[in-house]
Amino acid sequence: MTISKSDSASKKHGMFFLGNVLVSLGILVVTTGGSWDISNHLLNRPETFFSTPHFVLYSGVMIALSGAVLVMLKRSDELKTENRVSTSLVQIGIALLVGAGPFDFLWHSNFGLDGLLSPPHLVLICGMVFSSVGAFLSTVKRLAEKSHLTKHILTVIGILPMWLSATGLFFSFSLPFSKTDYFDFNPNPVFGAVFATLAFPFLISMMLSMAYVANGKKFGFISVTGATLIVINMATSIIPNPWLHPTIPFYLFTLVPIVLCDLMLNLSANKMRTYFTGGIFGMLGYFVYYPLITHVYNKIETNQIVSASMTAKIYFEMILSVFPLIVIPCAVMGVIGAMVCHRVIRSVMRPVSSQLS
Amino acid sequence: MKLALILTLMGLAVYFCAVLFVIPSEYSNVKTLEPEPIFTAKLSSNQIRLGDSFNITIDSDNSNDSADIQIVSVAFPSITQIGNTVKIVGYNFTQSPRYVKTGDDIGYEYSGGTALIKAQYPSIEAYSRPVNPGAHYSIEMKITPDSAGNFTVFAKTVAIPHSGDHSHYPYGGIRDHQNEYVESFSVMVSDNLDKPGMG
Repeated sequence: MTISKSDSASKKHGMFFLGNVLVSLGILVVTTGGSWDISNHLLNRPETFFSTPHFVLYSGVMIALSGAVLVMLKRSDELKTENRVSTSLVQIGIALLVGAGPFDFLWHSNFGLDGLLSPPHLVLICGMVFSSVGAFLSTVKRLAEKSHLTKHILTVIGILPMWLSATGLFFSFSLPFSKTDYFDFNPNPVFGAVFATLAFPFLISMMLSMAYVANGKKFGFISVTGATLIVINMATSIIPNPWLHPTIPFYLFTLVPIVLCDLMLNLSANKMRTYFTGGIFGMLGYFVYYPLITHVYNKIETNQIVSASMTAKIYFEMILSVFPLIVIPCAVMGVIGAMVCHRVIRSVMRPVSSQLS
Repeated sequence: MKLALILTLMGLAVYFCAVLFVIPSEYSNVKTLEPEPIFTAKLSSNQIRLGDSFNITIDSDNSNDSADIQIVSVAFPSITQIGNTVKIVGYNFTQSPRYVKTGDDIGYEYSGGTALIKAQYPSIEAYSRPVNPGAHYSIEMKITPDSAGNFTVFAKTVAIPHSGDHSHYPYGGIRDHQNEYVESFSVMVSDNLDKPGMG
């Protein structure tokens, strides 16, 4: 039996696609482990490298690494030209991820407890951002060919790793968790709060708008992507702290405006409405990033000790003094996030649509 | 279509009103925990010769509510650095001890680090989190003073959340460099030529 040239090309396309999905999936596992690791540092013994969240985190690295191998091996000339930027991002990202492991181990061995922002963690997070963006850029081009359910799954697997790894990067520059016996990498509290106010709304809006635009502006993708993020955040940041359990209904309530915006866009989508929903997404920054955001604004607002049992109390005490101050910049950054998303997706999809035509 | 749009906008308005004005009052009225930490300290000797060592054991407990964090701080106002003078020989707190050096930024007046002051002498902070009522943790240190005279040790325990006068122990007495109450212990270190207990 002979395999035709087109069969072989389609097999390569399939393997290349699978490789990128595995990279995204691996980074999703890494980011989930990373978020759990932050909660673990806040609540339990943080000193050892051999902790369960670290195990999850580095399992994700292995999945992403196997995906990257497929991406590298199964490339035809056509795939190489078509995905030059995205594949380079995956390569650089995976190299940083793999390098971060031994670097982190050495850092823990020499300096014990490490903060959120440390050189090995920064290398790890940058690796996560690069590889997840690279993998998404390759998969998004093929979303149109997939069935409705597969599109949903691929959208979540593609977008959430980018969202969570960028969240990790932004938290590194805003949370006061980076002071250790050896180094003080804590951001200035005012810088941290301003940075969080601008960066998170932009990110939320960009990611939710991306789920919408990348899937032909269909209903449901914003809701499913938003719901998955909320469930992951809840599982990694709220559930590990028993004192926060009563606030789970409040956190799940954040899904309401996301679904409403999705509905609004489904009723009639025009540029104005897209930017309006972007603004609403931006305004959700203070709620989506509960409970960790408490530590950021507490530093300049009340400066109390945000211990496990006090987190919710401090968060809700600050809400009426913080939210009015940040609502306008949050909404503006949300609109900008939606605008940037439209431009990015348009430029990524253009070569594919021109090929298809 | 227009009606659906209006309903959606109303839904968004209801959401923001609820999360800003209704839900916060429900959650911020939750009672703050009131842990009541305490400790007992035991010295192996009140008088030693220079070059010899003595042990101090501090057993801590917590009662009433659980504490998010309970810290037992043992400070050494007679020395400027811990070096080889103090060694931890027994320790069952859940977190690794923190060594505070002279000149480090430390919390002031039970603020837990939100108001800061420079440490005037070294200390060791043993801590666990969380600490349920009835939990016991202890630290034992072997101390070998390097000069003759009175060797003083300050001990205190603080629970977080620090919600009242019983969230620290002792409740009164001497105040340390953090303007917090401490229990003071002294051991007389005599020169080799002196014979403690013989005169």
